[in-house]
Amino acid sequence: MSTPKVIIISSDDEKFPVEQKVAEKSILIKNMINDLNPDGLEEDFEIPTPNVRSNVLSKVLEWCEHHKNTVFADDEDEDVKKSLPVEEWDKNFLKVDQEMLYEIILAANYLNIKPLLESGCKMVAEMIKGKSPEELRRTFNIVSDFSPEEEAAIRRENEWAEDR
Amino acid sequence: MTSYCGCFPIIELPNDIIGEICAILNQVDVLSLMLVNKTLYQLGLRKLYHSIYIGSTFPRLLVSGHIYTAFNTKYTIVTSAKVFVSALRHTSNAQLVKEIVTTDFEPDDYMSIVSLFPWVNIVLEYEKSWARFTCLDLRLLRGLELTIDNYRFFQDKVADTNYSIKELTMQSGDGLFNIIPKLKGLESLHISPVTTETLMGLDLAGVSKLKIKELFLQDCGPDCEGGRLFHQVEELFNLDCIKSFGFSMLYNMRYRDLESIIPRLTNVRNIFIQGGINDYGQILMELKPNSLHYLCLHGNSVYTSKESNIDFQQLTKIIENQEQSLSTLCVSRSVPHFMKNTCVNRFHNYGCCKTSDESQLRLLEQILGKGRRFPSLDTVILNGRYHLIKRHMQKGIEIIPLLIGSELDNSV
Repeated sequence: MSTPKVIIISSDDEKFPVEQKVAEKSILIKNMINDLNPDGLEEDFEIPTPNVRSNVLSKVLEWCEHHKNTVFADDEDEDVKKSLPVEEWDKNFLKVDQEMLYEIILAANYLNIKPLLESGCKMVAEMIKGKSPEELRRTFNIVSDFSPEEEAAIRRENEWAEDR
Repeated sequence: MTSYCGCFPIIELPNDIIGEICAILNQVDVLSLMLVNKTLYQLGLRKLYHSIYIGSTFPRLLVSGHIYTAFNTKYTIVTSAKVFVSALRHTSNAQLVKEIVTTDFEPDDYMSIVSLFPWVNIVLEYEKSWARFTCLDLRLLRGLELTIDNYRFFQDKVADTNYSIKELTMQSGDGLFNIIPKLKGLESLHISPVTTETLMGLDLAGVSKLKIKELFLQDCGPDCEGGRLFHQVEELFNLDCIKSFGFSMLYNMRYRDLESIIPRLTNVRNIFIQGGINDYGQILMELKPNSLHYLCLHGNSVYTSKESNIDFQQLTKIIENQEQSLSTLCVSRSVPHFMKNTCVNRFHNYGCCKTSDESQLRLLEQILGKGRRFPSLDTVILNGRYHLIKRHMQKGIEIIPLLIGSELDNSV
């Protein structure tokens, strides 16, 4: 008899059968499996993810598959972890268009996959680093809602923290 | 679903995720983000004011938009307590401050900070001027530089004080070791000079009961050589726990004990070695591949020739085993800085930087292989010349030689 699979269903009803180990990279799914099957999985188990579209879910599961044997260190100091660069595989994996990156971050947040969420946030941070407010507006297509007076006031207010 | 017109809808991310992103930016970039629009202003504001570090001795380099360390992404760094206090005195933003860490302050400044932020638990990061302690609550102290001059002060106080000191830099000396049994939470120990007597003193003081993660043995004497240093260090410290290791020797000799110690540091991330004529290529090859983040080799005559050019072949041999993880590399013929504790975790203080020259840029380009190699390397210091490496998603790599003003001369 084959081992039972976890079948994750995307918002557009596509089914993704995966190994339990892969699915459990998502803490949300892991908790669901454990809560509903306290004695372990005996048959295939379906989990709907109504917030995640199939193209995003397949990408997220590709990440879970790649990292199914990765042990993410917990002992590491949170602050140190934040300053470490994105791991090479993740970096290449997340070289996607901005919309996809945005959806992967949202999905990782919803499914509670912390290491993926962290890598996604770091990729966005990389896009922010070293840019002026004007460059940031262009990069993210944001229109300023400050009046010139307000902007000047903000600069004055936070002058103490500027790079002098 | 919203349509995105191909641009990243950062604004549409939930606030807590934008908060997470802000948490990995330093203050320069947070300030920039805050000026984009009102939503990002509010989110950036929280991060900018949350954790404040006040330290007058910090060089400007630290707040550069290019520098990213655990320290300067966590804290907003303020170099003048007076400016900070007067700027925040009349704004409601002061309420956003949740944590203040300070060092090298004047008692007056300290008192005005305490009165402006009564709800904040102020931590004294590092202090060496004992005369100022008399007005302070020593339980707030996190780091201490213990010298023959100031230890008597602690001797008197030590009996009834519950210290939370994590980081200790100390001169060797019998009396000074008496403080160690009181520092149950000590994680970082920097000691100089080191002789066999020093190590015996540490043994008697019960260092082996502590969980030391950072160990700096500065100015090791020749009497430690011949296996003694290795055996004593192995007995006193759990070498598997050590994340940062620093070592310097008094004489320019081959230090065989070091060759035994380094391979035993199974979880080391940061290594500083000063002086010596050891073949580090050989020693470092024994470390776990891709585990080192920081490597600093100073004053090693094997790797730097008289013309102050660094040999590419030899350098690559040392670092190739750490290609994926290495983020900072520092190689210098002379010694631009000591392995001072404060430099280790928080930022890398290299003193005054000279202008980079063509041969160094070529060497760096060679090391980086047009961006194909050393994917994590972002800071390289070659003979006191500082280079930052930026990687752009489309444009590839950019090597930025950092020029720093002469005021750094005074602050080191």
